[in-house]
Amino acid sequence: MVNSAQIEIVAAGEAAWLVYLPLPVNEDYPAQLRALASGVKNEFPTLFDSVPSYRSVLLRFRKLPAEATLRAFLIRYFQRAQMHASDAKEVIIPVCYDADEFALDKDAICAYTGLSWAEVVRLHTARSYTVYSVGFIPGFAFLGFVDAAIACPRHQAPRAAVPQGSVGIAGKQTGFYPLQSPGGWQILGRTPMALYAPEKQIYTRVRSGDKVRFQAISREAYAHWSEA
Amino acid sequence: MTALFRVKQAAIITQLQDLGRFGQMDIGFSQSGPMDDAAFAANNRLLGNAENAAQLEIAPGGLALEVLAETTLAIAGAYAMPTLDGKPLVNFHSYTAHAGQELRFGFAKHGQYCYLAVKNGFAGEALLNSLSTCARLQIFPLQISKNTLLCGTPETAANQGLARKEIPDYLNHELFVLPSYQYAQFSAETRARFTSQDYRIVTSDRMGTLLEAGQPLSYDGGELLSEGIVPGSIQLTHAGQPIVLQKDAQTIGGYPKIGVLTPESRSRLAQHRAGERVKFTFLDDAEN
Repeated sequence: MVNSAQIEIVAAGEAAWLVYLPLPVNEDYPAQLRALASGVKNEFPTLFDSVPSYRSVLLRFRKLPAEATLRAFLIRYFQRAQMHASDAKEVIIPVCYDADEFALDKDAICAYTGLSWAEVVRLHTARSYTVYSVGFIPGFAFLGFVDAAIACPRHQAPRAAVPQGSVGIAGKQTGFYPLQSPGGWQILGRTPMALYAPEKQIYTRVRSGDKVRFQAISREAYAHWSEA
Repeated sequence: MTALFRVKQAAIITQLQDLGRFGQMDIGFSQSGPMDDAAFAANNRLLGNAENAAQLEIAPGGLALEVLAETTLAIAGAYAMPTLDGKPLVNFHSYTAHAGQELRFGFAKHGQYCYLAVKNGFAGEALLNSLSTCARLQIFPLQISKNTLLCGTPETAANQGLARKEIPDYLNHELFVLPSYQYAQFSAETRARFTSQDYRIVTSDRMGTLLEAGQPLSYDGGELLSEGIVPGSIQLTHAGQPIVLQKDAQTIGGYPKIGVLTPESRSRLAQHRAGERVKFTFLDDAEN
């Protein structure tokens, strides 16, 4: 339960507020912030964009409410917080880890962690991760947090082009590249699932507060994978 | 839908832009939209268009079009010395063009972005309810190259110009900043230094404007978690130099931000080129 006295409100230009929940970040924050953004939208219909991320939510308005008005709303909102059911869901992402052309950083990850590849894959697929933020490119989810044994630093120099569907680790975070992009994450596999396909109206698979679980699939299953 | 123009010569960058792609920041879509909001708004006003009617953003010039259907058009932004059948056109003005004429843009002496609007707007294939291009994300509601047909609904309207006092002063190098984000965590000394020196523009594009000053700025507030960022945000790099985020910037970031430019100042900055100098002024003091 969030204590509304500890919420900070900070300006973000002339038409936006940032609302911060108190530190430390916990895994319930992303879903709470997403629900809060919906609550703000109901109360202030001129809200046109909101970005929940870790402990903050950016709220952009056509007509900016006064800080005191927003604060009064937040106090009322958090008093009835148990009523705000989250529509967060769990998404399963199939990943092929056992093909060298997909697991681009297999050797580096094994060398850094001192673990066998089988153990790295076991640990990566053992947890359900929380989507703390979505951004950078459409549908790119910042997932937390991996087992400390498989945390790896980013590459010093980012790759110019990480292939679409690549799954990677950066520090304690894990995530996937919905489209080809420059990037510095350590790549451990690839998903055959379309993560960004505007021609099929797929713009993202996840939103802040959702959960993600990775499921290891064989090279053959990757080749024949199709969405149920 | 009617073909209004045929592209005879493409500019280096010509993009279709409406006001932007809104409501999708939470899944990672940049806002996009015009780099110069004021010029874009002026064009649509001159034509009596909806404020969201899509226009061509031309950078830095060199576009040549064959007129295929009679229509009223308007030009604004950087003045790339456009001509209609060789006759010079006045900036921030609307004109009626006739089939067979040639509309040609030269290159601007000042500024980076010219806007060409037509009555009723240009057509394209919308993505998530927007006709805005975002090259960073490979979003092209209209691919523009030689021989592309630019389509719309031809209609004529009164030809008119903007009063001089309504035209942005692109030679004004003072940028107005609203204290925002981590402003309160910057030391008084850093805030004073921020506004006391000139900045040289190193590079500037649709993602951001990288600036450089003699004295780097420091931030002692510690590591930040990534948070939502708006166009115009002034973030500091690890080297202590500011980057002003522009319309195609990422939606989240973890660099400290000392403030956000007003939309008017962000637009004016967008029209500045590499090598030019600017200065920052806080609009009011958040501590007062």
